[in-house]
Amino acid sequence: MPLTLELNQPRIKSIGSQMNSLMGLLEKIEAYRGDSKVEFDFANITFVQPIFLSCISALILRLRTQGFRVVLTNRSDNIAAHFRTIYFPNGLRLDQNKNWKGKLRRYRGKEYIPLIYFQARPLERESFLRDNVLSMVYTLLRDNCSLPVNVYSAVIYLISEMTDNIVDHSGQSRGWISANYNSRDKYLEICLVDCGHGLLRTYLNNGVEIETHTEAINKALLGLSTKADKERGFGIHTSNNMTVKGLKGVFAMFTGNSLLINNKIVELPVNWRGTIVALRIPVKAWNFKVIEYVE
Amino acid sequence: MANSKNIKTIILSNYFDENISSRASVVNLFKSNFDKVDQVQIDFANIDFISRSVAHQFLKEKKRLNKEFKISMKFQNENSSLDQLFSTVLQSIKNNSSTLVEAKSLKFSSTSDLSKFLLTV
Repeated sequence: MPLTLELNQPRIKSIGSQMNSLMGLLEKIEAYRGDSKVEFDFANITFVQPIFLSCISALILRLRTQGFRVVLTNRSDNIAAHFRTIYFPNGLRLDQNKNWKGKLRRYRGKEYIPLIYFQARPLERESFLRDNVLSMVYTLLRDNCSLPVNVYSAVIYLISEMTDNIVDHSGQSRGWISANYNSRDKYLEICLVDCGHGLLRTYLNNGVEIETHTEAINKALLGLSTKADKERGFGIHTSNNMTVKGLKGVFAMFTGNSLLINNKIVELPVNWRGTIVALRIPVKAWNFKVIEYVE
Repeated sequence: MANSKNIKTIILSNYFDENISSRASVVNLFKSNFDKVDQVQIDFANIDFISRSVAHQFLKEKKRLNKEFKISMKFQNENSSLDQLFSTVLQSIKNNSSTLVEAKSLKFSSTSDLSKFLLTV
């Protein structure tokens, strides 16, 4: 018996709302005992919310890897066209395109970047290319969203720390990044997703004796590195502080069954195998300096 | 007659466009051969931003090269933001003190209550 997932439009545009919609999907997938076809039904989707969509991309790929046949149905013409533009659900693999700069240049002047499925291994060629792809992403976001200089610096800091976490800890060969600017309400949403070890497994693999995903998030907020290195472990808590306190934005991290959202942790009835980081950054002139949040 | 120093210069803009985001990139920069090198100069010209992790990795490589091979490392042409970042990271390595706190855990009696909360954030 195939599983049909009727996607519901997140009721409001908040990150929590998008996580709530994702939770509904994951509940149905976890309860499904079949092994054949999964259908994502987009009939109720009229507006594409970037964080929700990034997570669905990763989910679809994971289901396909597990052997499910995944089909997308009932996309309106507008939605289908937008999906093609942002490379949903397969993602844009820039490393497979010699003219990757040309590909990204097409997103100049737009309020979004495509779903980039970037290489996440620490190898030399991949690292240099990834850094240069990210440089171009930063430039697109700066220009397309007219980011003030200090907000731009924060955006670079946050994306670089979170992508580096995927490279260093996920154990995966690729990760996802997407971003979308809401020009009416003037905020930028950024989403980074991986289907890797997640924080808890990463700590356990490095000999840290903890039991729950909530403990793992708290260890990260307390600055405990997953590596045996006391000088490391600053990425998550500085990023959380910078976003929430400095930029008055939203920082959410969903790993295992724990969701950190603006300094509150909730345990969900579902699991994300890997880590999702979702950021909402208000774009306005803040009296704010990145360096004040760096330790 | 004094021996002249054998200096190897790594021009970062030969590898990166404006920014360096990955710790792994720095690790890879220092995988090359440093035989007969006395000093490594890292040229930050045209590099606008490096992440905290990248700054930390540069400092770590600096310490390692010095400890293992007696090679000194000098940074040049770094902008004021990078300079400030290096100082901050260096300071935090020395201090190693923490004022960090855990997040507050919230419990919900039902999925419906959890959903209601999520819709507010």
